[in-house]
Amino acid sequence: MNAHLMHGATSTGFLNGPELWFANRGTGFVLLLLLTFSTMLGVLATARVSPRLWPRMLSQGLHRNVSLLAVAFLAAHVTTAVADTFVDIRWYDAFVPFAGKYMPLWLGFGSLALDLLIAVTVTSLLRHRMSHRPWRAVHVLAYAAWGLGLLHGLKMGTDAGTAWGAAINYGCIAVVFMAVLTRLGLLLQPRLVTT
Amino acid sequence: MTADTAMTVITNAPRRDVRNGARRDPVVSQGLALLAGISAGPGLAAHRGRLGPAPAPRVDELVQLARDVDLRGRGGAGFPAAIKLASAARRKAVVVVNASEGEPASRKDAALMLLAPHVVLDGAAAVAHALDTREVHVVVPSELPSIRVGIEKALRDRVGSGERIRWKLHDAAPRFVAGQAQAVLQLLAGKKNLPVTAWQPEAVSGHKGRPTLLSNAETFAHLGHLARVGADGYAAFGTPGEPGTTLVTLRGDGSDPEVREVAFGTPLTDVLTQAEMARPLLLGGYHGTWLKPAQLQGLGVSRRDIAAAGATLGAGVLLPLDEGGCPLVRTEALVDYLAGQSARRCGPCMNGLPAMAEAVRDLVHRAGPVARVEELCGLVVRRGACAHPDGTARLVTSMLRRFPEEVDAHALGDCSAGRSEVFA
Repeated sequence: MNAHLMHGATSTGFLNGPELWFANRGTGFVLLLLLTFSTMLGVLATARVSPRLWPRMLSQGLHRNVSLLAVAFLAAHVTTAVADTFVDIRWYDAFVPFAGKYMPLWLGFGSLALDLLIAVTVTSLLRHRMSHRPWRAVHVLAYAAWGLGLLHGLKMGTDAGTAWGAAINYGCIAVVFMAVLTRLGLLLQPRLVTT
Repeated sequence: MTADTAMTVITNAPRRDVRNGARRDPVVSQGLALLAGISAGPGLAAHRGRLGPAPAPRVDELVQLARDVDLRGRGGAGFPAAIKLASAARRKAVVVVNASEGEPASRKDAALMLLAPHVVLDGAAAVAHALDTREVHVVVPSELPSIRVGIEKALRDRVGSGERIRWKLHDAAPRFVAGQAQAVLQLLAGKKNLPVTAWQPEAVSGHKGRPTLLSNAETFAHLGHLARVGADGYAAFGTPGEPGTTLVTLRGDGSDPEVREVAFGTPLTDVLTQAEMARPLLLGGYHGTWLKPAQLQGLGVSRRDIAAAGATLGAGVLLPLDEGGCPLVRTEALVDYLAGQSARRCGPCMNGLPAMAEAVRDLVHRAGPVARVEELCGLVVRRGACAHPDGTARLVTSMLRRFPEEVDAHALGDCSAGRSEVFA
């Protein structure tokens, strides 16, 4: 439907056409899906149920790889937003929240999410050199990053008003809430005894 | 009947050409304050004989005067002049008189510059004195060479009479967005006369990073008049709440344009004809708001009353609907024009306005969906470096809001052009 927005736009090269805008919207949604999946895996991993029911391949391997893929998409999302000459976002607006001119509040939520995810990624890469407590303290910031990123897309995204955009946004909220509810439910259950 | 049906709405409403050029000169009537001396001609000698030398206020005096009469900028946004003056009152200030008037439906700055140039230039000289600067830039529209010729002569006369101001004249591009403040600063910097993102207000950091008092030509005329006659003299016209006068352009893009200076509070019945009062009014220009005839009853030329009616006076442009016209057909033509006037520098404007023009055309002539128009209006607002997308969305939104019955009629392939009672 939003392909209609193309009307009237002349495509004269990658930096002067709407391609960066399309790439930015696309990476934004893929990023949200990946972060949601990663958050869900992370929440469920903390449940520490039997490795037979929830193997380490899921709780650690997949969580890590999905997260690293999300980092790649995050880099692409930020790069396309900054490189797009049709919207004035300076490179440091991506990192410094609320200092920009283009929808500063909602862009700022995205910048905050980026900063938090950088901290989460760096501490996780250095996890073998860190003690558990500080690592975990930083790692739970990923929840905040997920929420801020979601809000950023919800209020600023070109496609947030479309039916499919709303479906993705609210679907992602539902997935994370379900994961958290499952986790809380497991807390109340008697702990499974592993062999 | 579904909205997807390829249907052509039959309308005999005139589709007015909104391009620049081939425009009639406006009829300008003698005014109360700014246009009081036009019968004596535009010369400096007659001007000085009538009013004496240019006023030379101190900055705190001028700020206080502007505050006392609540003087607002006349370029359309209505920003308080006192705040702008106080912000620009720092070292190495620059004064910019913006007479570029990019909107085809506004003719009041052209009238002022042609018929009373020294009223504007006295105001600029007064502001320059207050800000302790000698650098004053004057921006004139390049599509009206008569203004440039007249202002060149006016400036030569002033310099010849010993005025110690460094006047610099610039020609603005013949384009709707060329008069936007940042676009004017770009022009002064020798760049393309198009808007860019403003990281700071011009009064804080404008031309060459210096504090820049950039205002509409009429605003300077008011500041000069105010400095000359004082707050009480200024309040000789207008209401206690809104002292003074304002320039309005009637039918500025039509075949019989008119520029008038009216006191604030003047009832619209004194400005528009009886027939025009019975037709929808586009108030505030192409970026303006539609008002229905019922809303015009009892309304005056007053920023407050007009704001209460859900519109803005803008730069004082009043566009009554043509006899036998349809507000939807008129809006469609305007949106088409505005989409073409985008500087094509911001994605939401460059991609969004042509899409909006098409969606409005579909709605008006092919029974297209309203939802698509509303979606696009929501997507472009506050996403541009300047207010061009916002103003265009305002026009379209007011059309949807004021004429829902007519929107429904067009969805059924009908059009009420010629039956003006429908729009009451």
